Amino acid sequence: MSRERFDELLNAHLDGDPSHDDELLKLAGADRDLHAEFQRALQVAEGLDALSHDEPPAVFHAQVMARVEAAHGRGPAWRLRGIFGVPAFRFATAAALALAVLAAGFYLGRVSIPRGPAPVAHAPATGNAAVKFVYYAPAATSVRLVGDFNQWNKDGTPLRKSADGHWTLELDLKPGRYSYLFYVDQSRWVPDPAAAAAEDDGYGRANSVLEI
Amino acid sequence: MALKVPYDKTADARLVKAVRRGDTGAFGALVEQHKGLVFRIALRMTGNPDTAGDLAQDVFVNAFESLRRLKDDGSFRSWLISIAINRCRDWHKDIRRNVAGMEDAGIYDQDASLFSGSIVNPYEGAILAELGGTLERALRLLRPIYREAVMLKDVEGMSYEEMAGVTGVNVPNLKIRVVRGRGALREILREWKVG
Repeated sequence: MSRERFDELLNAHLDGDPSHDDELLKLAGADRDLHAEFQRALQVAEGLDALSHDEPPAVFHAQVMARVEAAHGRGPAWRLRGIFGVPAFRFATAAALALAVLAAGFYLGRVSIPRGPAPVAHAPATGNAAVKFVYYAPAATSVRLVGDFNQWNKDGTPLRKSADGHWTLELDLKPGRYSYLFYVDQSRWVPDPAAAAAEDDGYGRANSVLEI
Repeated sequence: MALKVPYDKTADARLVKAVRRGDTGAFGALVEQHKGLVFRIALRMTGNPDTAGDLAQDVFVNAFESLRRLKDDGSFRSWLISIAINRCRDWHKDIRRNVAGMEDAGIYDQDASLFSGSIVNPYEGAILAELGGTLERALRLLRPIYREAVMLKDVEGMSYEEMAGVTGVNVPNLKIRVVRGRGALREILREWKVG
């Protein structure tokens, strides 16, 4: 009977319930075998708790995000993915709907152009546009803009991080068409979620595209 | 037993909302927050760090691609754990099918019945040599249903209610599995004359 009671109290203790610890210690103290069992149980609990500190290898995050971003940018540009609760539908339907919305929006003056790196201001003298790039990555330690602006140099142009986890960069750009990506933590290439357009880079990855 | 640090559901909910708006960077933050947990589940259930890394990656990619199925953004962690548990169970089923000549005698049965009167999985004893760590090796000897229960309760510090939510097993059965799993680990250590 005391063995059953001991087992019951032991497991209650291991489940984090200390309310019967006095009785548990009394039972364990009165019997050598139960005492050894109790000590072994504590040893097992301690050993299992130590296993909770195992972490994946350092490259794990980069590997996951490479697959995630490939999944995010994958597929023909004309097909909307059902990732964020938007049902996928064919180009004709998408185009027709988009035109209808834009037409209604322009008429009503309420719709906005799909969000992208928004030109902050124009410089009348040069015809250039001031463009602000924004990328949200609170866990990142570095974000660089790499693309046609800097000949796809991986050293790129660093964005600056603010306290709320947003990385920003303002560039003065001539009118034209630019392909680019963010290079995050010097390990992974990330398309700009705010970009209005994308293109296949020929290697299965989508580059972001900005037209000024 | 050390208390596990409670995690911030509201922070996860904010990040999930950002991911739904198209912010893959926010998903990166979720990966950073939960990568240890997912990796440990896969490691305990497969016993191999490389396999665990691959399965853990699959879990996160699956979560990203099926995020629309998550009803409560604040329950992202529990939902992620259930994906991990199911991925590991699928891996075990694949292993069972791929092992030539192995008797299908219920070694990976999903119910609580014991195999040959013992809850130790004799097949897995053959691959013990790869593993380091006494408890790691002992845990690996348990049949998956007991290993899963002990891992979630005593390694990850989950409540029985949360375990029920992610495993699909009711609380009374989970308690039985945890008690039996703990007892088996103590028995293994006693046989190995450890402690």
